[in-house]
Amino acid sequence: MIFTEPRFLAFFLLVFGVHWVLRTNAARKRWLAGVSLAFYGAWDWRFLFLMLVSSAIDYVSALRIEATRAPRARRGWLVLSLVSNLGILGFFKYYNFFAGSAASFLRWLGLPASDPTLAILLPVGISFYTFQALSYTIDVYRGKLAAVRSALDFLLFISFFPQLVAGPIVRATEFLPQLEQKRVFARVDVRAALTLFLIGFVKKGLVSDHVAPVIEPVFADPGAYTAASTWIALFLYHVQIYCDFSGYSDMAIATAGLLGYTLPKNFDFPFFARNISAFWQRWHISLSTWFRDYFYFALGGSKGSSLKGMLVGSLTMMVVGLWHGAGWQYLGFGVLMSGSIIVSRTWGLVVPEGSLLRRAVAFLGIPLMWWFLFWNWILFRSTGWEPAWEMQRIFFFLQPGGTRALEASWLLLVAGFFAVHYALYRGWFRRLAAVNDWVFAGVTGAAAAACLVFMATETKAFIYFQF
Amino acid sequence: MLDPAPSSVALRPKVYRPRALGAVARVLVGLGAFVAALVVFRAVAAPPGGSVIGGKSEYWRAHASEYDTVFLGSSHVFRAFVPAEFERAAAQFGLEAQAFNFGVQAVHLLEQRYLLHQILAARPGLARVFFEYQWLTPQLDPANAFSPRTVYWHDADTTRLAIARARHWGAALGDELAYVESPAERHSVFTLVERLFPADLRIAQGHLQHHLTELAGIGRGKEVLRGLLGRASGQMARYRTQDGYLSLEEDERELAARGETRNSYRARRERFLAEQDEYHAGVDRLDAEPVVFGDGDWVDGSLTRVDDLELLQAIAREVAAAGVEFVLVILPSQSANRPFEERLMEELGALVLRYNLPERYPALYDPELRWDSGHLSAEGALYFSRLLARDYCAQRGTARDGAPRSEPAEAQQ
Repeated sequence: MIFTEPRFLAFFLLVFGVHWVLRTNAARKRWLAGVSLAFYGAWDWRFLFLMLVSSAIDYVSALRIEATRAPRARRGWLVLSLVSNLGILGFFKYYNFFAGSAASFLRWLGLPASDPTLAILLPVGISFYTFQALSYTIDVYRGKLAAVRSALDFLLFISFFPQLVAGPIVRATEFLPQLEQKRVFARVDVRAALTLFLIGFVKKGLVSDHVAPVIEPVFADPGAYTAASTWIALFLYHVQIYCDFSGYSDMAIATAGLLGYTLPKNFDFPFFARNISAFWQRWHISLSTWFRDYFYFALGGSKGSSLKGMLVGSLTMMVVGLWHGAGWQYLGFGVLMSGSIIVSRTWGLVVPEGSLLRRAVAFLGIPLMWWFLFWNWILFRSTGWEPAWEMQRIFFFLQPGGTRALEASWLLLVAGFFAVHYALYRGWFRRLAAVNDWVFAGVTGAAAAACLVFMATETKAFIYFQF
Repeated sequence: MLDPAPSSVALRPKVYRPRALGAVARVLVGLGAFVAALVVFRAVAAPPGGSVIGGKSEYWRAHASEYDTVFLGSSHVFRAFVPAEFERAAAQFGLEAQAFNFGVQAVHLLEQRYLLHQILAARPGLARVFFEYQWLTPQLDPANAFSPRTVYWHDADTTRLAIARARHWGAALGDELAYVESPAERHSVFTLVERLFPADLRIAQGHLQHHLTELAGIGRGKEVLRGLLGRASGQMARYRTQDGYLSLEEDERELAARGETRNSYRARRERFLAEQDEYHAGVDRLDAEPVVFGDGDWVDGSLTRVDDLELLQAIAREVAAAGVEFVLVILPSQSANRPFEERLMEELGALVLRYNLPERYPALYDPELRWDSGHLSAEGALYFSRLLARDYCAQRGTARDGAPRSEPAEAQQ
């Protein structure tokens, strides 16, 4: 069930109505946990068991960690949680990749090796809820958070449907306290939530889903298209991936907001970042801060020499790349991001602050970042090495491709999108927030109708569902 | 943005009743604006149905008065009926006609009836409609669910009929009426719940959802823009020159000229030529067996198909009530249901012309006159159009004399 599907609207109206009609906090939480499981089961009910088993292990592990004083036993329970979570994730997400790659490598060496891959389906959202669960047990282990006694609360924290399948990755420290108090409808900022939902809907249903079928054939067979078309496709993918993922986050935050819950911000105008660090502070914020707090800091990246920080930072980006998926293209994406951290930190050390060179690069920061992101998108979006290589050949050397062409008018969509995006960035629309409730109701109703009419007829799954 | 900390809303005085009434009123204003906007979008939108249907519908609306004869059907009609050739041949038999080919790819019987209503509404004085015989698939093809092509014909009347026929066939067939689930939804909890309901109700629910989608105009943005800009579909010109007809050869040449590497028309032709033995075996079965389904290439064979005499009778009556002659034509396809065809001849209450008889019409099954197993070539289309004109005129004369209606070829023997 996708947020832009009409049946989600029906589902949410029911959830919303019943949620606010129920009198007690416990009843509301039971209701939300039930509908969250149904929402997840809308993809595949078989994976519900996987999520329940992994949640049960984390729930018990955290309670044992808190109840046990012996460091070794505490560590043992933490390891159980880490191994079970990462084991499930690793099996479902990475087994085929590593087993297949190992077999290929053995065959390349001339050794006999049969194909050991299995027909494994990737449970939707597994990377997101696994990381959420991990943050919980680690925080309990670190003493930052008390283990939650209520199994219902913990289940709702893991399965809360607005962010279950594609984030934002919510920390237990942010969410569990919200479950302790009954939500009050009068405190819900309905206007802000509806506006954010519509913005997310436009991004996903009116931009991303319209762009997807246009660029799909170009990424599948770039050699058949002109060089200009390759560049148009890259600009379009630049817009699509942002609209797709941030649109989901917007709708998730808005949906949770209408139920009285706050989710963390996941995007902050990343395409206006002028360097790689700033980009990751603005793109998929809940993931980058997760890796910062539980990986980079844990490996001591923030302590010690600059070289150590650089190496740990670089390793972190490599893992972030692999988090996105099991494939060499994601590894390539990780390598590029990882390399960019080294270049960026070295640049900071070697080129003096305030120098002309530094100022020049800072001035060109946004176009340089875009160029670098385009290079990443080629790896990220390509269906295999061959088309990725073909596209890079056109991208770097402007070599002529084939004869098929994308219409240049698609660039108008890119330009229009960034004009609106820039206006939002500068806060030029803030004055609109001051309109009275009657005007707001009318405009929102008409805008919702326009969204339905102008949305793409084929609703594509969110890109990040596969991660 | 959504900070649950006390906001300006929470600081308002605690006067709940007026606030609640005000909130309800604002919701009503929002809903009113929502509905009003949908109505406006619907009013300005260009005709629906995608390129071929939209193009033909637009053309028909503008030029309906130029024609008195329409042949409505699927791609089998689109590629087989040459209006100019039909007119020429009919004139030799004393019938002056101006014909239009309203064949559109993969048309579904209920969709065909919807289009028939559009055709009759735009041209009340039409003389005759040739209507391609099609079986009914009560369930929508899950592969095309919610595509614009499946949604556009779900107006209230057609949806009501679709649901009624699904219920009728549910009662008649019981467990034999299968429900084909979308592979993507097979393991959904909602599907588990839906399985508790009989197939006809699930089918009816699908039609109802499509009707709601049609009613709201979901995904009709391009048509709204075209309507606002006053632009024709761009396909109208294609149908003007040959009155709706286009041969597969022309389409193949056009794709080749555009440098398309994936030329589906050519691929179909090459496959047909490579599978001649299979083709001939299928043709032999048509003569030998009473019930044959050999059109699996063109439709989803797993969906339950029914020969719906009641529905066809109702359509024939509707056309007759509009003062238009209804002629049912069974095209030279790879399928047959001889007992049902006999019933059609006896009970339809309208002229039936059938061409799925290889023994009687060997030329229509000659590979030289076919593009592929389901469609005639340009030369085959000329032949078929002459045949249709001759048979129709012959039958018309017989019918005028009050003689019982019978097979055209038999009448000439």
